[in-house]
Amino acid sequence: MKRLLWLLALLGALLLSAAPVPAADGFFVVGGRPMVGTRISSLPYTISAPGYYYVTGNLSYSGGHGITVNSSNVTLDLMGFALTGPNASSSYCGVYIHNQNNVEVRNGTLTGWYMGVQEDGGGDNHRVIGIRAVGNRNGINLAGNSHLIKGCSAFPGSFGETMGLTINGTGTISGCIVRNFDYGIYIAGGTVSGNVVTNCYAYCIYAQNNTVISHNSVSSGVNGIKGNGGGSIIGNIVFVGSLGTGIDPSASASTPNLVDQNNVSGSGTHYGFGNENTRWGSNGG
Amino acid sequence: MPKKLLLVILLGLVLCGPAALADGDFYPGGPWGTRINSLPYTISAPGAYYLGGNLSYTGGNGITIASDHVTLDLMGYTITGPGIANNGIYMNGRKNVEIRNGTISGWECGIYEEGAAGVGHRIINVRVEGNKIRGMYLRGDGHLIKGCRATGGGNGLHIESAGAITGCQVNNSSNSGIIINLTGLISGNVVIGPGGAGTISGIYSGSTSLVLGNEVTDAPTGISCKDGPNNIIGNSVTANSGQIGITVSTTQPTLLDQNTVMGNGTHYQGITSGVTVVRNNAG
Repeated sequence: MKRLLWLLALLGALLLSAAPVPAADGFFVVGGRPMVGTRISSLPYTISAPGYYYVTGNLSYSGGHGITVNSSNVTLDLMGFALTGPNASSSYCGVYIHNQNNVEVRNGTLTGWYMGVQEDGGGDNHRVIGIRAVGNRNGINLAGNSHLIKGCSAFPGSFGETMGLTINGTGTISGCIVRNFDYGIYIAGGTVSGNVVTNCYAYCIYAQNNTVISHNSVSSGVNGIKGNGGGSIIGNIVFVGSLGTGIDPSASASTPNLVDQNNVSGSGTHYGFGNENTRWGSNGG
Repeated sequence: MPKKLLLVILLGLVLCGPAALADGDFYPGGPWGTRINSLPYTISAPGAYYLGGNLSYTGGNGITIASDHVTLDLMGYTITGPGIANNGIYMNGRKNVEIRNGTISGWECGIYEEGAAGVGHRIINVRVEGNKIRGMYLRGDGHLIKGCRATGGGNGLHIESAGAITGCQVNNSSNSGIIINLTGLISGNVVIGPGGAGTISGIYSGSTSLVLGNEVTDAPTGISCKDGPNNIIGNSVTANSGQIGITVSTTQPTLLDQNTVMGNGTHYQGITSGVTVVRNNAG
């Protein structure tokens, strides 16, 4: 009898540790394992402790921010779903962070908010990855430093709705597709690379303070690329409309730019004058 | 309770512990999205949808996406068509659809966004195999095709405007491998075939694209940017006899830099003094 019980317990342990099994409709269950992380079932929701949080369905809210992150060291995975706000004219954010560090937001849609994702304090080291910020007044706006915005898409609800992807400190914006904002990409320092930015009313890409702006494809409503604080503008291709400037390096001698391997076409001004410390390589157009 | 029995139970509980977090997508235990059990299927509401197994259909489009803000995860499975008609996944004028992680095989077109109003789709880690006319064709703009593979069939991967095709492989398409008609980023791709000579391109960019760091082998024209201004930087092209490596516009500014073209074909075509900026290229 004891031997039989022993064998049954061993058999049960082996079965419970089996590979994942697709379950009934609406469920994907990692077989035999308990849930991981904290599920967010409704909005508004406040994250107050470090950890992994996830969404398992479309959620909406019209009375305030959707998700407020009041902790550092948080991962928030939207799991492919959409968080919907009241409308782009509200003052609410889909995901609101204030003065936290190391928050990652990924893998879903934010639509109908004043801002899709916002950090408005001095928080550092955030990562926004694979977020589709569509139909908001502003897409993603991060104050603080050392942030990453990668593989995101940003389109406003209507033409000329302020800012697409913004890092007000230092960081990296790469592999994103942005269209139809006043400022498509704005960064105060860091790198902007491999993005496609089109039809922006003020600037497609505007950078301060020693930014490397490289290998972007830009088709501007007005101005293409502004490297206002010095740095390198390399390998970009720009189509500029009649009213704007394609690539405009800093006009201040204290902030030199390297401008090389770029190509500008269109009826506007192709290149700004820069300053006496601007280094011009081989550019087309 | 005997100690050995208790130890075995404890062992079972340890083995049942939380799944280890892995790189990339991760699904915790619990409900997630809507499972698609059979084709044809129409997605009519925003949200996340997934396959739980291989599916096939011969009577029309496989999956029709009739909503914006959709995530469709094929979960590694295959949707198979009749081989000559219809679309594996069809959309018309949708916004913000993400399709990922599976195989689409045996359709007229694997993924087709038919509407010029289509905006902001993302196709990630999808393999389109043996689709008769096109692997993927996304009209509209603002699309991303990343980490995908197209084999056999007609055109491989095609975005109409303002998009990016990165990190993909195209093998033996019978027509052009990668196409962006206007304003794009084509980078880090590998295109092989379809062999022969003529106007079919391994990579075609109409205008205002950055063609960066791609490898193209045995295409009638390896990289064609003859119809507008483009930057062509850091590519490697093999042009066999009768083929053309890189062709550029004779009237629109082109930057041609750090490319390598080899083989017995014509290496560069269309270079025009005062129009083409030529820097360090080999071949």
